[in-house]
Amino acid sequence: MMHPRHLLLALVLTLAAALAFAQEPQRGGTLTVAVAQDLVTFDRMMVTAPPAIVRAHVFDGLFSFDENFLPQPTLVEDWEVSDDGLTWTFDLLQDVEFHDGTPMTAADVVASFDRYMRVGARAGEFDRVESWEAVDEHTVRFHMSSPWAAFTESLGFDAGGFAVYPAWLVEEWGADVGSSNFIGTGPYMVGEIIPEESYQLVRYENHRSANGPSSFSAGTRHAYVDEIVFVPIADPATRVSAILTGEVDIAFEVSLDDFARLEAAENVNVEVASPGARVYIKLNASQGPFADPVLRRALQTAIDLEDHMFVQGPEDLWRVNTAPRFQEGQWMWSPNLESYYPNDMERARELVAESDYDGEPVVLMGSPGRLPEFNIIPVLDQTLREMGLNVETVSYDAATFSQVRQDLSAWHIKHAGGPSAVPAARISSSLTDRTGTMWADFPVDEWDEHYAVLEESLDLDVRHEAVEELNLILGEYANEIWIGDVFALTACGTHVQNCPDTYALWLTDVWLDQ
Amino acid sequence: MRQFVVKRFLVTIPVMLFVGVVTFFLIQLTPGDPTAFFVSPDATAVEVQQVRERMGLEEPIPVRFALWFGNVLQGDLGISFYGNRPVLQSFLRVLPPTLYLMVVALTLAIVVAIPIGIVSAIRQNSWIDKSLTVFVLIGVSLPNFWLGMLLVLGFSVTLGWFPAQGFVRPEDDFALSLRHLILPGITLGYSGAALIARMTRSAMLDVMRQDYIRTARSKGLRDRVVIYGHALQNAGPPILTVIGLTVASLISGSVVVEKVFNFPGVGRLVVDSILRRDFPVIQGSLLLIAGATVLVNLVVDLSYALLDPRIRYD
Repeated sequence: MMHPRHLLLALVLTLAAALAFAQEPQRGGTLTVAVAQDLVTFDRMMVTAPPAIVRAHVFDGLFSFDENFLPQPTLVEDWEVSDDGLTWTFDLLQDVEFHDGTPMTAADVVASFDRYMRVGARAGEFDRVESWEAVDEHTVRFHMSSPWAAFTESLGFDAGGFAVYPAWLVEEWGADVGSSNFIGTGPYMVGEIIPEESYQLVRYENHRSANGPSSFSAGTRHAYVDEIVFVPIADPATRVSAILTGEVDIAFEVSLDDFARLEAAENVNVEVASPGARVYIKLNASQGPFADPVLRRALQTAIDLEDHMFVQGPEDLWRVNTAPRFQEGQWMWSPNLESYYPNDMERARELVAESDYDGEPVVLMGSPGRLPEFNIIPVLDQTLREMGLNVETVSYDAATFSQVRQDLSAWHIKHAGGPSAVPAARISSSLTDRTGTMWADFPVDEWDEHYAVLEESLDLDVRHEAVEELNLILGEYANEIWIGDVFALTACGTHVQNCPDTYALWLTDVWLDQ
Repeated sequence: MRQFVVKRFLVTIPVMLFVGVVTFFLIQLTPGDPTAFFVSPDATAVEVQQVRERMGLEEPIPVRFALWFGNVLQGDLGISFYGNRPVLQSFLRVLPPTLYLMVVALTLAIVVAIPIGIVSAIRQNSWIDKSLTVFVLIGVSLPNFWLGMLLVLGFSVTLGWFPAQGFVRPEDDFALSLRHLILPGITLGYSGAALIARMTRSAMLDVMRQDYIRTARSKGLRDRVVIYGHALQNAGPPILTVIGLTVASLISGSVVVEKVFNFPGVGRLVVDSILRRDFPVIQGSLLLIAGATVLVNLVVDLSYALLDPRIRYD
């Protein structure tokens, strides 16, 4: 008969082994994921529309971002930049296969870049790239017209960003949006597509993962589940019902209003992505009352940032944040604009009196289709009224909003939002209006001086200083008022391990308790 | 009869033409930018312009109409901006789920409504009759999206009896497919059921007061024979008219119901296409839906002759 002490030891060891097994990633199973938007196409180059996560599993680019928003190589082994910053040479990762079993070579990268420069959604960012060529089977070289330190950042952006396709596929698709044969180098290949119903991805066993530690969308990726099925469910309430009934394993972009309900559910875990979506205001500095810088300063002075965020939902799911874009820890993070928002309504009214404002209607434009940014509209309306402005609030559906915002005679102030991090090339969007024209009286020379440093220097500290200066120019010009961040919620079944946050691009490190 | 059918088909041509022209120009005049999904939110004007050219949106509207209409006459409804798929293919793919949904909704509506209407007429002013009034009031007042959400909350999330969303094709798994159809079917069919029940009641009341019913009763015929053999058949045409109208309303009702239940049908296709300004899909789908509505009305008109021998189309 076993001694009681031995029995206890055996029991402890068995439990420890079981616990260790439970925490060990397990391969297999099908992960069903509810996404908020239908997939427009797998052709990653052509569209910026979400859900980027579906395409990201199939196609790779040359670079991806780590958690500090630094570009890390994905299909690149090593790279070098010439001393004059004009020539970039990339040694490609070897043994990379497309899903049709053919090896990826420099010729595929060159052919893909040819197509990207013709039809890519963000091709405009690459206007400094003069030419590109395959040096040998695994080396690609790009030549710039002027130094461009942000090249790898633009290459790393996923939505509408560069991706490597087989050269034959580039020829087949040409300038049209790809509609079949979605073959990439990612960890999953496209399985059964039922348009608007489900998109099945199947693990590609010969996938060659990027080198380096896993960090945000960069580094090594582990494809644990056999299949991922993405199901577009547009209605947030239906997504919540689907996760509660167990019809899906993961539901992205859950409404903040459902947070408490999901937290209380026994079969669901909620992942909070902080800081989530940015919320800010854009002022029309070209036409109408806000063309007057004194009136722009008046709104900056009046605005109570906390009041504008309070409408977003539970207090622990949002924060005030005046830094234009980026997050703590990311190299571009520069929260130096707090002093521009004193929340002083009395002084704001004095500024209104000093301005040229003559009581004309101030058109405040919004779109209920753009959440969470639209939520600030009633509070903003109230703030403008308290300042003594004659406000006229108009709202449109999302597609109309996209069009009307390009007509500068149609609005004076509107909400805006988007991701926290953007490539350096997109920071310049703050200095132009929606038609691509420079905002009136914008200090262009001063901006260009610092922007050139941001674009051309290879020294991160120097670039960070340039970002700080650019932020101060924006703070002074006051055509944008950065208000805060609304955190994003993802709901996962309790059997899902490594529940990703809403801004994750990968489900590769997620596994299912079998 | 043949002449009548041919005539009705000929009348369909100008109707479809009118729908096509109105749909095309209304959509073109609607504000909204279809390029929004293809360029980044902070894209430059040049980038937006390039995408518009690729989509053919830079051509003048009359040129676009001529191109579209010419293709429609050849049976080509165009290619979707999104996913680069032929419109007809997209429509035919989502049509079966909507038809299944409509069949379930209509079946539930008829099976529930006609017996309720008959009983209510026979037992006029009884508690059954008053209950019918409540049933009808709720049916016409309750927004179907709200009813759908309540049903999901009760029968999917709380009781777990039915799936909360999605669709399974009957050929893949018939039982599961039916489970997916019950809640959206009830949601879609309820308001129709209320109207059919009300119309059945009033038509039956009208008929039951007729001399031939009194004669039938005085001959000693059993109640069942009088009601089903004489009254119901004569009350048929107005009930059939409401059923025809219900079918038309199911098409529009499915737009909301399919959204709530994430049901991959025609309604969701149209709504999504409108929201993202996928002009070819909107134009093509509306044309086909208009054609279907005209067809349903024709079938209803022809059915009158079957129910009422006095009606002749010669």
